Formats: sequence, C-alpha cells, structure tokens
Amino acid sequence: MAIDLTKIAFDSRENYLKRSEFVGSEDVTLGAAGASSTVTVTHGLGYIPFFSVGVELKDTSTIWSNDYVWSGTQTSSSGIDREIGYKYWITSTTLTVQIRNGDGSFAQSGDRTVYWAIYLDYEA
Amino acid sequence: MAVDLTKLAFHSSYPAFKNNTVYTGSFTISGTLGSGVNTITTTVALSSTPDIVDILYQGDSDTAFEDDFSDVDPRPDDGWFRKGAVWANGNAGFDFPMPWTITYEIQGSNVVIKATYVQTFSATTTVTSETVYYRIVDYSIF
Repeated sequence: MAIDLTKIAFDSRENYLKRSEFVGSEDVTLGAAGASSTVTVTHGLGYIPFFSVGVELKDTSTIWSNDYVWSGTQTSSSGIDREIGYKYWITSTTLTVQIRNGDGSFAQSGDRTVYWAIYLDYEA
Repeated sequence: MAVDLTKLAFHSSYPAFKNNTVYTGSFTISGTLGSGVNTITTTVALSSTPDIVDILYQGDSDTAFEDDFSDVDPRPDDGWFRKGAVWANGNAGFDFPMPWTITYEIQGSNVVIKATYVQTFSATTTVTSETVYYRIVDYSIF
C-alpha cells in the first residue's frame, strides 16, 4: 500500500484535538415556567478549549446543538411567551449549560439530558 | 532498522482535522445610532481559506443592568459564547441596556464578525464604548 505521508495523523508541526476526560451527560429536572436549570462542568484546563454541547429541549427524543425557530404570541404587556431554550458559555475553568423552561403554555415538564464533550488542544 | 510505513499505527488515508491557527482580538461597539438595524463589523484576515472555524466571543453580559432591569442573560461577563449577545449601555436621554447580537460570516479567507442591534422607540441613541473579544480557531482538513 502506498503511504501518503501528508495523512500521517501525528505530525509534530501541528496541534491536534484530543478528547478529554470531561465528556458526559447529566439529567436535569425542568423547573416552573420561565425557570432555569443549570449544569456546570469543572474542567480546570486554564485555557478556553474546544467543546460541544447538546441538550434535550421540547422532548427527550431529540438532542439540540443549535437554535430552532419557534413562533410566539404576545399575550401580555410584559412580552412574548418564549419556548424552551438553552444557553451555554465557557471560561478557562468551567463549562455552564443552562436550560430555560418555556413561558406560559410553552412550559415543559420532566427531566432533560444535557450532553457535553471538551477537547484538549494537544500540541504535539 | 528500516521503518515499514504501512505499520504506522496512526496512519489513515482518510482526512483528519488539525488545529491550524488561533486568532484572537477585539473590536469596539460605540457611536451614535439611528433607528432601525445598526451593525458594527470587523474583519479578521486568516492566513488561508478555512475548512472549518470555531468562533467564541466574550464581552459584558447584562450584569450591570440587573439591579434596574431583570436578569435576561445568565451568562457572566467572563463567559465565552458561540451564540448570544454583548450588552452595552445606550442613552437616549435615559440609560438602557442594549443587547448586541454577535454573528459571523466567512468571506474567502476573511472572517467577518458582526455586532447587530435593532433600535426601536428612539431615533437617536449614544452607545457607551463596549469591547467585544473574539477567539477564532481555524481547523483544516488534511
């Protein structure tokens, strides 16, 4: 078999991503309408790593890792009722994922699973 | 001993990713805004056209406004995010919070980062200078 040397995976001139030990999932119980449920992952790497996040939102059969489009109706002067959604952010020590339950009739109930994977920036 | 390259444990003829380069920097949200869609743009030139990029942003959340307005954005000021907003102080005769949504586009080898705020109810607003930090990682397929 001919070897294409450019395809050798560990070329010491390059950085690589290596999946870290900080990979997992956690079930959270949704709160009341408009309430938030938070998962915090302490990685302690000291830098901002590459990571991915997935969450169950409207049901437990679909994992979302991006936004979805929803329509809402303004039912009061305080604003539009929002569907269930999530936010996440990372620092050099922790990854935080927060699910915000929907407002009013958009409120969901039960448990939802939050998934995450953090990768080491591996300098060969 | 001659090395038999076919025995390399970590060889694959299929493409892989490499973490090519990390670009970091910042730009500023400031100025006087008119009504409608306001966009502040900054362009980051990469060394080559990227296959995949991962971009995170950082800037003030709504922390400074939580005493007078409800806590809308749970992100702390030092949290890096992919989707979300950086909050600035607007003044139209009174102070109010302005969430600037941060997005990006790839144009050839340039990453164009945009901060967008849609102004309603006020014709003219002055924005207190606010810094948006970005971290772009260029992942290449090889």
